Amino acid sequence: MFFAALAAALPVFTSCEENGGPEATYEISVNLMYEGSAYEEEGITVSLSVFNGGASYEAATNASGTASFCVPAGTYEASASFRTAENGNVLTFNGVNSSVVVTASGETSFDIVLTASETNQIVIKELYIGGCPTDDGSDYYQYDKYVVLYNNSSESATLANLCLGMATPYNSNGTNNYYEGGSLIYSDWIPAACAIWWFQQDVTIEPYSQIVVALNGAIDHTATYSNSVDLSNSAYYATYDPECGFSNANYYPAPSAAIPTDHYLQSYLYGRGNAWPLSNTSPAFFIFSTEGTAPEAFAQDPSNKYQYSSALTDAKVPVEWIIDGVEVFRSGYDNNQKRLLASVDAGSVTLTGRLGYSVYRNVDKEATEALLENEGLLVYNYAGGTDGSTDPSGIDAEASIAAGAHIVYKDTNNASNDFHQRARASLRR
Amino acid sequence: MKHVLVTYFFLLAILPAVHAQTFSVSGRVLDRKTGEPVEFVAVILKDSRQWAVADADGRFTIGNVYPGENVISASCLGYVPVEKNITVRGDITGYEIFMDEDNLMLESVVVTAQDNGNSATTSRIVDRTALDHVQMLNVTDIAGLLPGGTTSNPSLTSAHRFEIRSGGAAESGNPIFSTAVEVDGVRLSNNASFGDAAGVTTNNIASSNVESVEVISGVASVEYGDMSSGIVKINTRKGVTPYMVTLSTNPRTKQVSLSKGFSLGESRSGASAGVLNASLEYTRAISSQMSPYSSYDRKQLSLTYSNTFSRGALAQTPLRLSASLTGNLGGYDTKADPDTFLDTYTRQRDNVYRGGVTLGWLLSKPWITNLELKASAVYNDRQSAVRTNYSNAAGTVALHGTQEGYYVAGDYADDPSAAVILIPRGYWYNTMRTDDRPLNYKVSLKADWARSFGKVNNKVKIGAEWSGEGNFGTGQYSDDMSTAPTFREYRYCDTPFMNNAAVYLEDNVTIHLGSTRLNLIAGVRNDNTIIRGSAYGTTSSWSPRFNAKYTVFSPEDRVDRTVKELSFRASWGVSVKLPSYGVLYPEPTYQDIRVFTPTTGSDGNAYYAYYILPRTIEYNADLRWQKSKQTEIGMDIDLDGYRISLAAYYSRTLDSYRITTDYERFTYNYTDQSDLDACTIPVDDRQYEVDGKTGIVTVYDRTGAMSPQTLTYATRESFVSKRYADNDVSPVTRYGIEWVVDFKRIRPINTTIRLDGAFYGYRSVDRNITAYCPTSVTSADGTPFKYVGFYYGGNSISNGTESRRLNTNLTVTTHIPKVRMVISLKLEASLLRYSRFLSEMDGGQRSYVLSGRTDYFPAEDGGSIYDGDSYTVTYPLYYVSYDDLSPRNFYEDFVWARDNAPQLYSDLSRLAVKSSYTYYFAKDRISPYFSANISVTKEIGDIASISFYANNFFNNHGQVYSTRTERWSSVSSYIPGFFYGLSLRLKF
Repeated sequence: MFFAALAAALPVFTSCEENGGPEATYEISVNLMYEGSAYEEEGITVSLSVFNGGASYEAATNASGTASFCVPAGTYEASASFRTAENGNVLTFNGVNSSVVVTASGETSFDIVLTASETNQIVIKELYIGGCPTDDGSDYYQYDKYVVLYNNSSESATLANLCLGMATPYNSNGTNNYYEGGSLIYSDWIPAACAIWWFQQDVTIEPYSQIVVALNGAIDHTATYSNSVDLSNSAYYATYDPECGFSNANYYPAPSAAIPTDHYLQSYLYGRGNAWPLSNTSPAFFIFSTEGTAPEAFAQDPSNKYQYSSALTDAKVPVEWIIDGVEVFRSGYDNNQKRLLASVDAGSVTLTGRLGYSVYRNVDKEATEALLENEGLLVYNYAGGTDGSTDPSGIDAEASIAAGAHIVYKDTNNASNDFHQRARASLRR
Repeated sequence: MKHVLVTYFFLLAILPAVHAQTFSVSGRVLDRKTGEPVEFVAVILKDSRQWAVADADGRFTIGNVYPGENVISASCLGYVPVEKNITVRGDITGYEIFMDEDNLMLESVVVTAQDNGNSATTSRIVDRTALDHVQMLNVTDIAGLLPGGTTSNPSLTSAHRFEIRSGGAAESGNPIFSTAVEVDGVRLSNNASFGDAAGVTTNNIASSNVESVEVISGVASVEYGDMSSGIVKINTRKGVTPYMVTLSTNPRTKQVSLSKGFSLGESRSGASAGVLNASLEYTRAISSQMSPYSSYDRKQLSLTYSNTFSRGALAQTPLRLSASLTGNLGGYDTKADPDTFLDTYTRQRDNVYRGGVTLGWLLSKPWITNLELKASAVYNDRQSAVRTNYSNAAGTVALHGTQEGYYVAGDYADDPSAAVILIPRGYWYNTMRTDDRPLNYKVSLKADWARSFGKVNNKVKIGAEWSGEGNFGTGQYSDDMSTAPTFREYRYCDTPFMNNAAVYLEDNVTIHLGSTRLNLIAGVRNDNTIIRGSAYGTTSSWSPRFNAKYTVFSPEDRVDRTVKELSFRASWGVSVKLPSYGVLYPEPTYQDIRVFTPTTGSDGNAYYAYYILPRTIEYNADLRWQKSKQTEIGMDIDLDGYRISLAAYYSRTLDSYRITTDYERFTYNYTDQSDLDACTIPVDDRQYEVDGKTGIVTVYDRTGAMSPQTLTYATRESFVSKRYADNDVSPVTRYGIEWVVDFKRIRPINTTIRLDGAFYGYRSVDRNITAYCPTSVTSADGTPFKYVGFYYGGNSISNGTESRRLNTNLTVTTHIPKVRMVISLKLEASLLRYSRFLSEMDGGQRSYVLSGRTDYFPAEDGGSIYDGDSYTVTYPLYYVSYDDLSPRNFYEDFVWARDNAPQLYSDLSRLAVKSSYTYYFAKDRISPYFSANISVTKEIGDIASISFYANNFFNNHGQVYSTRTERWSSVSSYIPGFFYGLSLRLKF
């Protein structure tokens, strides 16, 4: 399967005004670079956006891999994200340059360094971690977190040694000591904080199907909190291993009797605490496979540990092990910093916590509509987004699935493109 | 010691015979301005410790005075104290003492702490003028007036405690717990508190009724016990005063007070009926302007009655009675806070009732001069209530059992006294209350004897005291046990009182050597602490103390000389701090091990089972009482009006109290959900029972349709912790220099300049061997962690700290008597703020440099950890395992395991303590920073005065640089934010 360039160029400005006036714009060029040389591909969309939600511009590359813009002076973030397929291998390219400073007399040529990553069958479809309002208005409830893993292909997917991890620091707006000189100090691993969870056996997900992992209580939360979810389904999995040290009964009440004990994920706590403190505002969550290494052996190995702080020990998870990740930024904060490398997730999705929202993967409209079995089953006019965030495909994935459609979710390894904030967690009834 | 005392008392018995003839000193005390007599003036002959109180005509008579040189002093509320030399060669009559009213019309007004020139050790006094000027709302606010003291913005919503010559509560040696506080001689104590060792809070002391505060930071008299870091003596108003009203306000606190000293007239016989001082204060403080509902209230009434009986049989031997009673109602409350959800609140009473009686009897006998009987009691009511809103999606358990064994959770309705209660899912409130009502009392008898023999003046003080401390509280309880969270009943009132019997003896000799004077004070104190119901029984401790002061020049002899005053002093002493209830009668703790984890049923309930393991702090036969050995030297000089006071000290706190953790093996049976897989009884029909001794779980069918089924289980071998009271084996060292330079007054501009400062050094290294086991995690084989490491100085990255600080203050005070106004500008500067973590071990190396952050073994070419550019690792000296309790060398096994035993290597790596910053052991010097405060006080006639202050009035928001982190940070962590306040005082 071959994926062409994602969109045609739609430059906002076609010519530059004369320089010098207050509304003056300046011509700049943005060059795609890959492995030290120019990535000479025509028609790739390059985005240029003003920091903190200002204006954005798009332009397509020419044959030399260069996109041209006419923009006002300011500081911009330039990014590009696209997929290619050669010899059956799907590669996703992502790149971002956050230091595009346009001035009257400054630099006019900027580079975006691309990283390539393979696209996997299993993706994170939804992450619900923000909690929901309580019924008595007292506060919010946060011990109902879950993640939905989805087979985004037409082939059955089986993964051995499938693990869950979260990157350090827990919150995107927290102090990040991994940054030195404005860059992350790691390039081939991701720091997994506190502990990792793993499935007791190989995980098989049928095509266009999903599994749910209750990240806190695998119980019916709705009896007390009507805005919450019922995670007591017998098909669900649960992160539950009190003997390893995760004994906090608020985070880990005994799972529902409906859930078989072999659906309990296991863990090894190499950090501290009595719970795996997945952020309820802004985690960097990822799934990975330890491949030929037993997860517990990896978790116990001192040689891969990184003493992040006196209270926090990380395990260095090789990037090549990572299957998927999503970088969640905290809404209302302008000091969010990325923790996942661009090869895992080149972007971010912003979440407002405590209101029952989740981050939900967008639908790959082109690929989904291309599936013949979906004819007449897709539901459009999706309105499930919130706070100005929505799925640009317009396809209501959950309604379509309920109608029997097969959904192909967007997977460019860039949460900015791939996720939106959903007003109602998909498991909520 | 016994022979010394016998000889001493023999000498006391024969010496009185040497001089037999006595005279009397009589006269009047008059107001210098009006010429009117001043009543109730205490006139004291200081060398002979004889005294009288002026009557309504200002007349006084002191009889039985031995001839010789003496010092006569007069003091009275509202007047400037007077002190003069007097020579008694015969009866003196018509001696007139003129006193000046204390107000801003005087030439000399001091708004900082003043040296107590009569003391042979470092002692400073802050009087009412200075207290008004800084608008004290909490007595700890005076800290900024001491040499090198730093100002903090007043606050009553957080607990404040005195600390003397210390760097704060984080330092070792419990410096704040060891600082004693007295109000009118009534000792405030926190010993009967069951929490951590902490000093008494001062929030409940009414600030408006304080007349003066004396801070004895040097070696105090043996009269004072149960303290090892200085003593603060707070004196309230006693004497006749007009009505005095104070109105104070700042953005967070409002205060109104009314006080008056009533003269009760005369009795039928013409004798004074005494003076009654009454003070009423209401103070309300909020924690933040943004949340004005979290408040602290102080409503206080104080009554003090004082009288002197000197008629009839008591004409030559007057009796002085002083009785005081203080009641305070108030405390912390968030109940009214609309930001607090749905009727949740925290309320903490801070009620206190203080009472004291002092009877002073001037006997003037050859063998005794004064006899003083004192009795006091302080009763605190610190009851608190915390109402909390709960909700849960699953049933939760609350543990209340106190007996060891296996227990399964039960419904409250079935068994309200169950050890483990299951609270069903849903929403609920619960109010937890703590009944904490400590009481301390003291009765003391003191006799003194003073006599001069030619050039020698000798004063002997001997005393005995009995004190007791206990608690009438019932501890923690809940209004509704069906929803109460985990807690255990522990009735404070069931613990016996801790009593202390003390005797002391002190001799104070002044020898006149030509024009110079040598003052020597030697004393010894013995405390016998009686701890009934405790294995500690009765313990005895000795506190010898010595002070010497050599006065080369006295001001009265050197009026026209350049060097007007010069004196040197030196002190050495031992002081003992008695332990708190937290050490002696520790509240039991419980280790609750979850031994059965069932599944959650459709009703949301999971009936867990626990093993309850009581863990009371163990008796330590080797526990010693904490004490300090303090050495001090000082000097005072007056160079043509430039007064310089210097004090240098060195103290070592020995045997500091600490709670130490050890581990012991413990085995239990564990059953989890997988053991239920084989259970055929339907989930919602299951009822669990656990054998109290074996932990074996049996499932019953509620419907009775199926037979009981016993579950399989696994046996877990673990370590559990236990704690015991212990002492630090290594001393905590503190040292420093304090100085005050008062520049000569610049008369043309009515301005004085004071430069004061303090250098403070601290060093503490923990050399105890302590154990650590991460009991909450598993070993690599999935079983409870099975190794215990034993560390030199604990399992922290560092085992000590050293710090040094240099603070200096420049105070410029302009006092214009004609307009009765004083303005002071104070610049507070931190010129040195240094600290560094230490890792030291006698005869070895405790921490090592690593090559990289992920390493576990020392770098081959590693430098010093103190270079501050490397990560470090600290290993246990040795370790034991569950299977083998014989100590094994940690490092050798760790190296071996790396190459041969991955699981052991993984487990041992958890006992290696690594730093996460390369600069961890680097020296940290915070760059100098400054803050400026201004205070203004203006008297409006004799009826009103008004004060205004502004702290950090330049609103300094600068940054300071840390050499350790090599980063800049806000100076707001070190200086108060811009703050201001206003007070109006009325007299009528």
